[in-house]
Amino acid sequence: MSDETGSLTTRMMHEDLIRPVVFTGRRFYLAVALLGLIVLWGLAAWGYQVRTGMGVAGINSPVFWGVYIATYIFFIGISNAGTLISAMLRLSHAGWRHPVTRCAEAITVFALMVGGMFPLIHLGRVWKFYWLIPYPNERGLWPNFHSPLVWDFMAINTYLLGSFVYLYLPMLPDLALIRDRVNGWRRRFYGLLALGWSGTPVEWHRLEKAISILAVVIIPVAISMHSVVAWDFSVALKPMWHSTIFAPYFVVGALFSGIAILIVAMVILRRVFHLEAYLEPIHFNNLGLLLLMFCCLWLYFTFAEYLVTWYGHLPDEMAPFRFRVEGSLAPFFWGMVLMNFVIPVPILAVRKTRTVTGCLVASLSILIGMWLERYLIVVGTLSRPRLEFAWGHYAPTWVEMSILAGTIAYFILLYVLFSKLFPIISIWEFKQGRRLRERRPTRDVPVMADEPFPGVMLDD
Amino acid sequence: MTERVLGVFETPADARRAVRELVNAGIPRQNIIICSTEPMLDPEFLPVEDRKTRMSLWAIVGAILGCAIGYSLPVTAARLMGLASGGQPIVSLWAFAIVIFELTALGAIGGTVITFFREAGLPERPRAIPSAEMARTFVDAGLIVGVSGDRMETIEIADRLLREAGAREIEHQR
Amino acid sequence: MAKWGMVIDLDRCTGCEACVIACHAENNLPIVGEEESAKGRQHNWIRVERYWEGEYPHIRARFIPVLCQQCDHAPCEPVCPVYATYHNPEGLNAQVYNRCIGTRFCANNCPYTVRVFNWFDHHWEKPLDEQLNPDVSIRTRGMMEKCTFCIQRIHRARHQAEDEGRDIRDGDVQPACVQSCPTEAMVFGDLDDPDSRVSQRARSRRAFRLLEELGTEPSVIYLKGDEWVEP
Repeated sequence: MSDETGSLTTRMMHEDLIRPVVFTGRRFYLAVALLGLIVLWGLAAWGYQVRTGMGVAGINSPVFWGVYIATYIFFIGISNAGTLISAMLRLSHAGWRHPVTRCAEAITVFALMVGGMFPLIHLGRVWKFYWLIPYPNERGLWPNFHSPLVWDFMAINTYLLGSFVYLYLPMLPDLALIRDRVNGWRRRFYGLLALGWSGTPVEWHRLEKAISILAVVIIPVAISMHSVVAWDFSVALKPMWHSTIFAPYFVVGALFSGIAILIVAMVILRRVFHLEAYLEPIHFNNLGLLLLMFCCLWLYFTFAEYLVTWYGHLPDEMAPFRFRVEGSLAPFFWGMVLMNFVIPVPILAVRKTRTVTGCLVASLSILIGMWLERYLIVVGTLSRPRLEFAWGHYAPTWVEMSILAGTIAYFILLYVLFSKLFPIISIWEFKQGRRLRERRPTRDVPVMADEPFPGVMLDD
Repeated sequence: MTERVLGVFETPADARRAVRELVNAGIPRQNIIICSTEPMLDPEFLPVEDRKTRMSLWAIVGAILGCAIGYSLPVTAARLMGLASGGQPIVSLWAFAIVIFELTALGAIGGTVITFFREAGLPERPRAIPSAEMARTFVDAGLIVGVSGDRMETIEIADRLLREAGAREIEHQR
Repeated sequence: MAKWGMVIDLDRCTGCEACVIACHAENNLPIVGEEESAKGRQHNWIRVERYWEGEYPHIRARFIPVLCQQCDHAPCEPVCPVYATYHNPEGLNAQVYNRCIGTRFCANNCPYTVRVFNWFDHHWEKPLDEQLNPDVSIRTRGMMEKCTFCIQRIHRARHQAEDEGRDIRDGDVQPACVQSCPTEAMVFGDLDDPDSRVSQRARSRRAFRLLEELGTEPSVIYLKGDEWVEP
């Protein structure tokens, strides 16, 4: 609807948000080529590993899992945040959510796709991966549903499917909008994806209904998924894995790193697509405060986990404890504390430094810190099994690092392609949010909750 | 011979007035076409009878179905394999609870999505309502109100009412 | 149905590692070499752990041969997503090589760290391939393996007993490690048979099981009694 009173006219907004779809700059091709090369390099390293054997990675006995599983938890963690944050913001009618939801949901889908590759990358006989899938087969064999890895399979797929739908359905109106504004093959492409959306009141009503049901369903699924990843470890009889708080600890860590990556993505999108008018300092301020809260929660959980281990002083538990805190993993441990708490907290706590750049610095620090945490959990425990004779060490090889680089590049590549092909800010939700904000007398104050009846527009 | 007249509107107030006028002129509700680029769910646009949806119901049905599959799949698979592992019972509901939960959620998601597509009438091919030329104005303006009918006079009345209500662009379709 | 078990008398163990060599020969274990061993990839189904007691010069080495404990409540079993490891009716912790997809979860969850992963394919140079045991399959890369209590010998003894129309007698089955132990520190047999040598020894007051507090119910029983007196 046209309203010339706002700072942005609808037409300007459409042009801003659809421009990346139509206009392709040289930087885009450069980025895709660079990322593509790294992905190819990672792919080659993986091919080498499949042909030669897992021995080309640094894993050994007793450290049977290494960088692959650490990165798996890390990616599943960042995937957790997107849809969960978006669903929670939608359910609580947070007024500032509108420009945030789509970029968050896209992170979820792509992080899950990439994270889900790691169990396969780490499989000794990856060509038999389909034996994990429960389907009737002529061998008459079924997977073992007692195994947390089968839970993983079910949880990841449920969450991936749910997140995909949760990303795609709210995108239908925007796809239709692009279809109506572009020509040629693009028109056919977006027309196909828009599934014939025309924007009748019934369609809108059902869409909002579907979004609200999905938001309710997806929150427990997101929590369950990262809990299942935690149970991969805590059901094992391993010192410092066999812990009851692991599931909530992992979920908190997941949200923590997920908000961080969301902020990083938003800062980059804002710069690259010139979205300063859409992703405003207020969004970074609010997400920064959320991040600050999770810094504290993370410290609380970590302290709770380490305190009881230290106090109980069981020899089996103390071995990995010492290895992490004082042993050769100590730089990782204290680095994690530094990156996850010491650096971000002052930046985020002081209003003056809680700027866009401040949030970016804190988020990058947290992303590194959370990866270190995952690495510590995997390697810190596995290097110190119960029988002292079997103790070992682990250092990743070039194969593991190449595959790690390749998968990170793949994640970024998917995100770049997505933000190129589709509006990364939900156009209709942004318009809706702006309309609601305009009705309020105090526009500049952060609006935490909006309309009493979601979707019901009362604008005169 | 069905004919259609469509008008593009810029403000919800004008569009609402247009709909009220059309209804007052005796045009049946199901012949009135409305499209918008934002959710417009005021009573004029979406009457109460169109708000009835069975989506929650089907979400629950899907959840129950998913729960049943989530229970029977691991139990049947474990029984068919019949292998003991780690001293756990062959059917261990503690371990299977997670599978049951995931499939319950999957069922609810499936029920919701299928019902959404059925009730919203999607996917729809080819997209019916405005022509390509008109759609270009529509997406920036935001609203379309129109009438479909097989009597020439109805269309003419609608055309006049839409213009009076402030339509920016009028299109006739056969 | 037998319940196979083993007794290892630590007071008799000299740490000679004959059991390790015998196991290599019997079960077609590859020799991975110095470099891989340094990375922690020794390919042994049984290892002799050596711990030092006391301070030099009043020092003594303690040996404990550790092999798969064939736990009744094996932590490795339920975590396998494809039932590649499961509990067979004779109480053995069986490993199905062909079914294994190599998640290595079982190896992580084994409190004794006795599972061995095939990091690479293995080759035996001629004529060493001639000494491979035809009763034991060669494992390829990406598979988990471990001590089987020489299940091929159990099968052979059973088939022989069936041919002769009798039950398996105590002493019919001897895993390679037990057979090769020069001090007869290891005894193998049916724990369900109260008269078997293994049962008699298992009732010793010196008996204990490794990491018994975890409730894994191992089938390997260790004997250790003599307190070390400085010579």
